[in-house]
Amino acid sequence: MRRLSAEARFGLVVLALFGAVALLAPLLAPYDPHAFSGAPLERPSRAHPLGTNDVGHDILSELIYGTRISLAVALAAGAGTVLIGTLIGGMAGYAGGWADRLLMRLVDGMMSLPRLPLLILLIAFLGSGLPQTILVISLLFWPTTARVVRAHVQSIRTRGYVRMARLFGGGHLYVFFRHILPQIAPVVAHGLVVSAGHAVAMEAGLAFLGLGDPTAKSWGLMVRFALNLPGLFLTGRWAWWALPPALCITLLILALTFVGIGTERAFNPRLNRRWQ
Amino acid sequence: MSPKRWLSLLLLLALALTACQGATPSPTATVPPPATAAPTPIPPTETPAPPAHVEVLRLPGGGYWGHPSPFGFNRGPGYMRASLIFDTLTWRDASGQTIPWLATDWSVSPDGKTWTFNLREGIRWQDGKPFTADDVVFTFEYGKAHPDVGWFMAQLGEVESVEKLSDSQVAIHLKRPFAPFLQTVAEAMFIIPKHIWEKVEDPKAYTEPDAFIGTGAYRLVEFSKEEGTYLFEANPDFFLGEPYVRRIEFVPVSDEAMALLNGDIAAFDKFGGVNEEMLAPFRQEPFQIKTAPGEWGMFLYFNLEKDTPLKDVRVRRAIAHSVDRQALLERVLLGFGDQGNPGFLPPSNPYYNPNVPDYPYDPERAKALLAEAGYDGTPIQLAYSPDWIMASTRVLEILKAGFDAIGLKIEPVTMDQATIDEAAQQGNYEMLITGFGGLGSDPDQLRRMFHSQSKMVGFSRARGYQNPEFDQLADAQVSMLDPAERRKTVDRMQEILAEDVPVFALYYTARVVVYNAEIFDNWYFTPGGFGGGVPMPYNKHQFIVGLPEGLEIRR
Amino acid sequence: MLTVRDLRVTFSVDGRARVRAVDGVSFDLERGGAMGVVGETGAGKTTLARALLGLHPTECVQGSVRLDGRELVGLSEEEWRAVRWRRIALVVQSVGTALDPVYRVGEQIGEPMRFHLGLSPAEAWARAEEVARRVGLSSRHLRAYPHQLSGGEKQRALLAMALACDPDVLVLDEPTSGQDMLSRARLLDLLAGLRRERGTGLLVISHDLAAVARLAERVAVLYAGKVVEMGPTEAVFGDPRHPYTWGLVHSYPDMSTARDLRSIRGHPPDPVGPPPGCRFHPRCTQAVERCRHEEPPMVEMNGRRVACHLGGLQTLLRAEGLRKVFLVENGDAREPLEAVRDVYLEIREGEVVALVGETGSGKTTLGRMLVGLLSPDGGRVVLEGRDLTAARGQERRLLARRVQLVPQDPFDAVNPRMTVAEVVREPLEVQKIGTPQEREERVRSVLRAVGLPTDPEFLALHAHELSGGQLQRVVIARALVLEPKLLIADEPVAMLDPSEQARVLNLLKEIQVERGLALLLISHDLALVRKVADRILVMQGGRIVEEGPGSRVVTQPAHEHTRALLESAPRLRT
Repeated sequence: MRRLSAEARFGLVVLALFGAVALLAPLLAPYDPHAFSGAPLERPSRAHPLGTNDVGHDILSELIYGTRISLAVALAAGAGTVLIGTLIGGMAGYAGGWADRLLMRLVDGMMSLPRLPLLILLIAFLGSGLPQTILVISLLFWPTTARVVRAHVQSIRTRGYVRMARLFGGGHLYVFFRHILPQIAPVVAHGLVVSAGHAVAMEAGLAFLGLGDPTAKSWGLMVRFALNLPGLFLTGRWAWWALPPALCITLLILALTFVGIGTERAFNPRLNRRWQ
Repeated sequence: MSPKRWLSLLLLLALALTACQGATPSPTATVPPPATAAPTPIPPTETPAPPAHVEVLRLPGGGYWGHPSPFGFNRGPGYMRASLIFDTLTWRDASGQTIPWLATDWSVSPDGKTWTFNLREGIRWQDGKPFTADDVVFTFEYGKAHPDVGWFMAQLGEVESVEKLSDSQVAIHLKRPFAPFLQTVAEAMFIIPKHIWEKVEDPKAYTEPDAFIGTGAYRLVEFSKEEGTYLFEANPDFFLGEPYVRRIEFVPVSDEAMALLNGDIAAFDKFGGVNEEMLAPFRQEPFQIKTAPGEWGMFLYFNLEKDTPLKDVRVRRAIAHSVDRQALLERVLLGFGDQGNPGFLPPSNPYYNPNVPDYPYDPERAKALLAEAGYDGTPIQLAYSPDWIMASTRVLEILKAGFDAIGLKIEPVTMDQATIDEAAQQGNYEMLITGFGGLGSDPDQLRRMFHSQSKMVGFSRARGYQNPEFDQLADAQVSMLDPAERRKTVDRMQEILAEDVPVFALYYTARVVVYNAEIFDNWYFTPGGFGGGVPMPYNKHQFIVGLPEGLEIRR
Repeated sequence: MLTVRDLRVTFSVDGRARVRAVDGVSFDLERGGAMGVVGETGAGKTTLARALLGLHPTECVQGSVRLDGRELVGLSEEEWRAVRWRRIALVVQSVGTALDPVYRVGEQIGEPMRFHLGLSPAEAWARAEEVARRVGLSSRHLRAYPHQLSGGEKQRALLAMALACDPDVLVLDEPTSGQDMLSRARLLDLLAGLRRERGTGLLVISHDLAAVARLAERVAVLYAGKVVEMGPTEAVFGDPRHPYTWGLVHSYPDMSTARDLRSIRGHPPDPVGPPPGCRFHPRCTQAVERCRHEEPPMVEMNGRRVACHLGGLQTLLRAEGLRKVFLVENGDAREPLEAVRDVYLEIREGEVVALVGETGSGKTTLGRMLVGLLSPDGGRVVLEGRDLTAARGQERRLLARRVQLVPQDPFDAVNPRMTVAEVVREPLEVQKIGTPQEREERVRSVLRAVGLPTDPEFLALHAHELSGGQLQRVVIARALVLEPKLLIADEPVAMLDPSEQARVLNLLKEIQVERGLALLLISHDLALVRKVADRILVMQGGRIVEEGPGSRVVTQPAHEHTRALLESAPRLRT
């Protein structure tokens, strides 16, 4: 970890900050974000550093609590995506043959589908809410991870030590978890981070479209409500209402991307070991 | 899946992507105009005399309101778009008075049951075929044959039969004398070309190009479901002459106020949700602002067909007491409108009764009523549609604060617009937040919405409400041609509604239209709405004639 | 003529323990027949020879030795005189001490005749000259004193002495020891001629298997005083049934064998306290529990007798009609390629078999099928009687303990993320063998066995921190940690530099001997494997084209491909 690149370190620091904010939200937020703590559309003041929104919620408090949703989705949907992707990609890459062809056809099919309409369709079917959002993102975005994982598993599968482990009497599951999974761990970690970034964007997008829980305090929804206000840009309100959540989304995705780049370096252990 | 979703999806995607790339949240944000400084005026027109016509009128669109055929449109905005292509027997202008349109004049029989219309001579359909009395007869017969797809404001059920007296004269026979006939039948019913529609089996799904052939002042150029654009161009052969506005375009804009300031559009309108701060930039040349009291309301519906605690009137009253209508008005409308009236009709309606029982915000009283009713904490589902009217999310938040305060448990159910309208129409809800316009129109709407035998197709009819006295009064007022007598009856009907609370009015949005007078200055709100009650400032009359009143086109 | 039944010779050492130097030996020797008795030093060969001549105290010897029906056991020394030298004579092994230094050789040769036949000194001398001529000694030799003769000449003198009374049975104790090759050959010719001409029965006691093979048509294999195998010499040496015989045969340096000397692991047992059960079991590669407790009876089959609970040497692995077809992309078509065609082979306990062939001959594919990494398209692999091909689940896992592979590329065979300790421990973990401490101990023990350090620093190294040779040793250690019966090494040294090649190959050989493994060595290098292989299989185009003992295949290749391989093999001398 000491040899992380500057970006990756920046990404980690930002992630840690967001994490701290999410954890300490009740302490940091000046108000309950659901409380009508001010008059509607107050400008920034000492009482409301970022003013209030269209119904008088404190924007700063909304922003702070919004961190929780974004991070929760990033973690859960990222993990869900990677879990499905690793399972399916791992299975395809490890089993090979017809199972591989079948699963990869599924992956190709999934990737050729227009994901957003599908996303909306699924949300419409499952209903809106955080668990549904996480589930749907996981269900739709695993193929990318699956492909990468499959490619790596395929190359690792042919390695001698995998065959040798079979020869010692190791079962498929043992081989997969002992030899293949640790090798693709950096790939999985990278996939997790990248998927988390996608998930943040997707959650924000869904919330912005009104496909999340409409009363949740999420950044995407804040932007949605802000943009719904006529004259948002005319009155300068965008600066303290729409911009902060948008910046937070951007920053979080950026941080995840940077960390993702950092994890990519770990793909080949020989790169950062003393291999002459 | 509502088309509006698709569109907003695309918009949002663009935004999300920009956000992903670390750019500012929206391209528009890169040039934020200073809030306090004077807005950038559009370049002043050098022409000394105003132009004899308007070449292009660009209006904010972006939503999808169905395809603008006589049967394919959705709600008021869809009707408004279709009304540019299709005409009705009568219409109305800024005076609020009925004016001749396809018919030049009309008369009613002494028993009030037969209306005779003389049709304007020489009118041709946009495909060149002549318009005749046959088309009128066909329209009503076709409408009765397809009762489920008609414009819900058009009271076809009152029509017994339609008779062709000559090529230019028809008689419409009613089942009973019907006071609001001109507004809800003659003005609401699009006359359709017989030669096109007689072969159409499924009118709602019919989208061939000839589905958009009317007699109207505008032809449909194109519309896009995905982008929510609708483009119309003037019909030079229109029966009143070439329209004043030559081209009308509904285009998607991200921020209407900015778009108006930038000259991208000529006007925008709002039902509530504006305040002085937002209007300030438009309080100077070349902009003008016109406001009108609310004819569009937001309501809390109680489904009395379902076996819920809502069947007990005390629970409904308790809910009424828990609603902080002042907060709704101030927070959701920013004060730009009126508080809901337990008697349903808004103050702007000529038949508004201000003296009905009221339910001031009183959690203690509400709690007492709940206790009296023996409410046991059974959760009640509350359907609402946040993607359609975003304000309903805010309404929900404020209502929920009140419900929480009195211990009423609700389960919010989110739906898109089509789903919630369908649910409302089918009665598939327990409680419902919905809103609609037309409240300024004839008070017969009360009968259609609250009569226990009402068969009205639409999303605004109350479910399971039965009050014999109300039914009797409602039936009586239809045929009362004496305004004073009718007013007294309607007053009582409002009192009954306020006592029984089958629906609780939350607020009525005031209306505002903000426009650039240099592009087009003839904007008005039609009193009582047009086409049966559409409260929008987009009466086609103003675009065709270019003047508030009359049929003479401005030159 | 000579019938030996259940002959036992028991000594008491230090007046306490009783040592059975010969324990229940039985055999028959026909008139004019020749019988070999082979075994390591200390097996009881000399004791047996002396017992046949009644040279032990009477109380030490039990059982029966009959010569033409006459019981010799229990005869008095007086009675023995009539038998010894005249009927049965012994050529002793200790040449140096058998001749009296103060008498001329001729006098010593004649002495038995004077003593037993009552001849006069002159007659005896004349007769001695005749006998000496027969064994290739001249009158000059007879006149000489023993110290004036060479070892070979002394041996011949002793032989002449034994032949002096023209005995019916000649017992030869290590007749060829200490002789140069030339005199050894002449001696053997002499003995063969003697037998032919005079019908003398020979009992050849020797560890010189070649001599025994030359002289005797039957042979008994003696181990710790017991006969473990007996039968026709050609059969016993050519196809040993008892593991000890097998080891003995394969440890014998043979002129025609190109491979290095091998020996049987361990040492002959202490005669004072021989192991219970089968006496060979501590050194036996295939010993089972029963061998530890129960003495195996001598069982006769096909004219051979073997004392082994398992009926003799076991076949460890047998391949029956193995086939493997690969589909090879050729343009658009997928053409079948028969990598392995109908291969039958057997690997016996403790055997080193080399599978030699060029690249693409199918040897690696075959090797993978043999360990069960690849499932054959036809045929099956039977490991210790169980079908490896069909084994699944737990059975497959247990079979995995019996056969292990040392692959060609150690870097590919080791997970780069694992430490040396983890790599070597892995099979134990997979097989759930032992406690963590026991596993650690076994890891250290196999690492020591392959000559690697076992300090914590070394155990914590990763693959890329080791040299190729070190890593291959780690791989070998890992293969050994399950204590397999068969090690399949696929070009185990191909990736190493030449000095490492030799070291690793020697290590494999050492380990093979030490642990009693069978070893299948897959290689393209015939010159390399012939140093260690007992048998060589030559593979070409997916078939085994030649198979035979290492010596034969290398010296007398039967298949032209083998000859081609031999010619292409690098040689230091032409």
